Amino acid sequence: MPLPGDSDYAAAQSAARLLDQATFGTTAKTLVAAMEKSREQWLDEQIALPQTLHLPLLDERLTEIGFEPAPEVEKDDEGWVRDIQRSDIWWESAVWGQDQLRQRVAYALSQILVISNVSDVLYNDSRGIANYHDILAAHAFGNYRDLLKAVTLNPMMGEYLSMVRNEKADAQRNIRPDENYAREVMQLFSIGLVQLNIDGSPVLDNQQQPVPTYGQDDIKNLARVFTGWNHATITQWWEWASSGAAEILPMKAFPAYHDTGSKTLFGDKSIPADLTPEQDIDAALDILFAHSNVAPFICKQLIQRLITSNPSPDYVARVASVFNDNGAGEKGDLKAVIKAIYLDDEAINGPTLAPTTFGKLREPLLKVTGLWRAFKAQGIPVRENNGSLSLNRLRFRGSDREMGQRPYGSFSVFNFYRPDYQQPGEIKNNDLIAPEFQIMTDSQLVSSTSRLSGSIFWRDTKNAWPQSELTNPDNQPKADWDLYPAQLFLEEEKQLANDPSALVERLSLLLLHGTMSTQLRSTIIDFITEYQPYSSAEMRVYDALVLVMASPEYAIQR
Amino acid sequence: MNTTLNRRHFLQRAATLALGSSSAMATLSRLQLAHAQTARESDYKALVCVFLFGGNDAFNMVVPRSTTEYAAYSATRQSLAVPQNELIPIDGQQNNGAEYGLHPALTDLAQLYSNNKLAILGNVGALIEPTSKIAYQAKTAALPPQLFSHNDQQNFLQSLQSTQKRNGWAGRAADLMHSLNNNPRLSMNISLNGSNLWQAGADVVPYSVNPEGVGTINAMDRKASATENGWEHSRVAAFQAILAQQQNHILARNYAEHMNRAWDLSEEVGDAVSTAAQIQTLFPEDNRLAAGLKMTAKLIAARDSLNVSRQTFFVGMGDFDTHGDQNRRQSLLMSQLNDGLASFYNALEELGIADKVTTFSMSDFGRTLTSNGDGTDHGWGGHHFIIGDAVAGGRIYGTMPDLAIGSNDDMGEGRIIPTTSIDQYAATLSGWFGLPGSAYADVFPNLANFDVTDLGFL
Repeated sequence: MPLPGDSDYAAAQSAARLLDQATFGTTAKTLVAAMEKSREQWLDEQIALPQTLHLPLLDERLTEIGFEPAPEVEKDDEGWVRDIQRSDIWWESAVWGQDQLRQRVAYALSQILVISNVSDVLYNDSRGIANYHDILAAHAFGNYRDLLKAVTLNPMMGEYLSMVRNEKADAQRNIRPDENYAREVMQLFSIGLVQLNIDGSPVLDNQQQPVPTYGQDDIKNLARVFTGWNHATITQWWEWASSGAAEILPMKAFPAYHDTGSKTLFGDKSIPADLTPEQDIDAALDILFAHSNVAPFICKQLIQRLITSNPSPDYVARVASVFNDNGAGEKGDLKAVIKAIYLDDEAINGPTLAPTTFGKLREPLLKVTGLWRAFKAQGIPVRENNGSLSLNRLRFRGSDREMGQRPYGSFSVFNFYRPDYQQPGEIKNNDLIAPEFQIMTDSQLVSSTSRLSGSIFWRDTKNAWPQSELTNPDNQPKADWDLYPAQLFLEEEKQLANDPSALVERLSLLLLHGTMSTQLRSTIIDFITEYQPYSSAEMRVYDALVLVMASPEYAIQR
Repeated sequence: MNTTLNRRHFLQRAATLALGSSSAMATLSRLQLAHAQTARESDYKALVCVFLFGGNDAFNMVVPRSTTEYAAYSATRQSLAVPQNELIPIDGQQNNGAEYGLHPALTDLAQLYSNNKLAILGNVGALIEPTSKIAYQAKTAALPPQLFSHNDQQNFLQSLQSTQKRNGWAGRAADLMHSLNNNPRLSMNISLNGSNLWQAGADVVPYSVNPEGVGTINAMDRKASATENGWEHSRVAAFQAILAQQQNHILARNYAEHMNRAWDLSEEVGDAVSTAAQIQTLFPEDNRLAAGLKMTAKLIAARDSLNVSRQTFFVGMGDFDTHGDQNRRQSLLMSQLNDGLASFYNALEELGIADKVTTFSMSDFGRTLTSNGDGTDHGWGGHHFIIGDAVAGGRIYGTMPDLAIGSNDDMGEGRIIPTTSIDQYAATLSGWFGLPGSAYADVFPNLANFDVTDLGFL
């Protein structure tokens, strides 16, 4: 990799910055490859890569540990172990997968179109969650309208927001349709609560108040649209299906339970009577998708997840315009939207345009993947439930406890943090948004820094410790599923250990795209130089790496 | 402790606050009043907010059991109705003579009620001003924005602000009161459930600690001595130097400040908790509420070494959004609520401080009385519990609603219009906490629209 002063250093910095924004972390190899390409070439190549599919990998794993991949009758005592396998695959795909851009965008989408197994509703549905992830990733470069329909009919979303088994009103039994999905598909997945301008700013009435996008009548009408759907594998409405193929197949319509009356949305958008359940959903999603809010509402959140918490209104407007028309008259083309997000001048020159505010707090999961990718983390064998020793696994199921975040593990459909969260104090006083600060509790700051430090100081080892043997003589894997998750490869860095300045430059390029401040650099160099006579090459690398990863400079992706 | 320094901080803060006020002198005198009224040695009080995220179906938590009222309830709720003979009877008739019972899982809370340690506040909710069905239908009443939306209603209940959310009522109260604590480092407001608007003030930033406790940083022991572990000592010094570095980026600067504070406090709070009296009361396992309340009890046990006299705590419990499978899920939730609150009360009794800590519930909203098949949707008013030895318990406060569909309390689908506002609820709690009445206008912006500012349950 180039060093400061080399003729290609600027190209390396620029490539490393793109990788920071568009992947789960920079590696030396991807950095050198990206230096050869323009941003657009790199994006096009990533978009063309085949998708890493989680579900087939999960089924393989389940078979390996002696489970039937898709049992028709679920076993409660297997649920936890199954979910550990699913979690392993998420981490391994994020850290080892080639289709980095697709998976990073899918991760961003998973924080907009949220499902979570924190609530017991999706307990035992690990295949369903893996499949849901695959759907998000499959549509990451497709059309948002298709994605919205796929999510609407997905049985995991159906269970999570209770559209499954939602039936038309029945006066005899004094019941009416469930409003849950109707409400959240508008509030969170498509148009939001208030009317927006193309630049994402709220439309204000003459009292300077935001104008609501919908009211209770709209919710009641839309709730009727989403009636009559149940699991794909059953033949009678009242049958129960909670596992097997029902987890991964789109829900099935049962017309007798569907409200076939006409419906009206937003006062003047009508859905005629006597449509089939699917036609009704198409008509309703068409109405939502045609709403002018969708482009700014979704695009602003994607920019926040990928690039910066406080995009300028113009940046939002430019991307939203591409959402509305990809240049060929198509609305909702996410491939064009993603390219517009990354090729925008603000994504490229943000640190110069807004040096004190551009960027976002690096969310805890991305800190871990950043470390693991930069230093070629290898998994380690684990003692599986059936007693066998597995191949290498990248296991971190307990990231919520230590890092405050776990994939598909937010506490509610409102994600880990809200897109409009303002941290009290200077951030709020400057009217800035900082979503990721919402989970940055005092405890999380200490525990996540501690976890990264622990990963660095104790995991660069040649001992392939099977974790269960080390920590649990009774061979009960549940207590130690992530104590020793990854083994870092720091050989390149150790070669530089006697040249602290070169070591720090390498870390600066890999982790901070070559922007390390003079003070941070000199503090680290002074410290490891002071202890050079007493320390090993390994320890000097650990020391430098811990201080970079724990620094406020690394905390912010810019 | 150094009272001169605190006094100076107090006045500086007063000056800062006054900048945002219409009358600097008025604010200053209010602050001094607060100081004069409550600053006494050994005078400790805590408010503990238990937030039931998702919208608790309080109409199945406190249920009418007298014949006529139960019939109306059961006709409305259909398959969701709790069977009449399973309700735990509680004393306390309403004006209309109706009698009530608690959900069958709430055995310990029923006991606390009969011991006069628990009060029920009936049909409280988000309101700007008194609102009737007629006013609602004629759209003449000012309403909180985005009724029935989870996060908007959470924001309103916690902030009481109807327009742009700014800060919370416990945060505003703490802005005025936090100099009463002789510990300038630790926030008056402590969250066991991450960030929340309720505790965020203009000046006060909550300290948030996970229920698991306060940890330390691997390989960065701040107690490492220069002589015995010089290497780690220097590593700590290097990290401290990095955190002290000038940051021009606002987010990086806030990260550094927050990390500094978190690291400092992890030591102070961790030490205080580990040296405080150990709590013998057993808390249930696998109960998120109990985990948060257990840590709260530990922090309260450490109050003397932390040198604090006023504290608020925010503890959350999720999954109350029971659109489906409600009967099964709500029974589990009620059982967890019962176990968590009861063990917390027992722990406070063990610490001899049950009269100084008042615990109260809040939730996004109540739920629809009508069923969507096997669950309920987003409603408005609901009932809440207030627990502690300072509570005038064993009574239902407020006005219990008519649960018949189409009644004057029902704005549609059994969404019940609240008869008591959160501003009134909050003002009653805060009055006990020591907030002077002269600060009410700032802290509870809608309170002036209601006749009663003290509901009498404390």
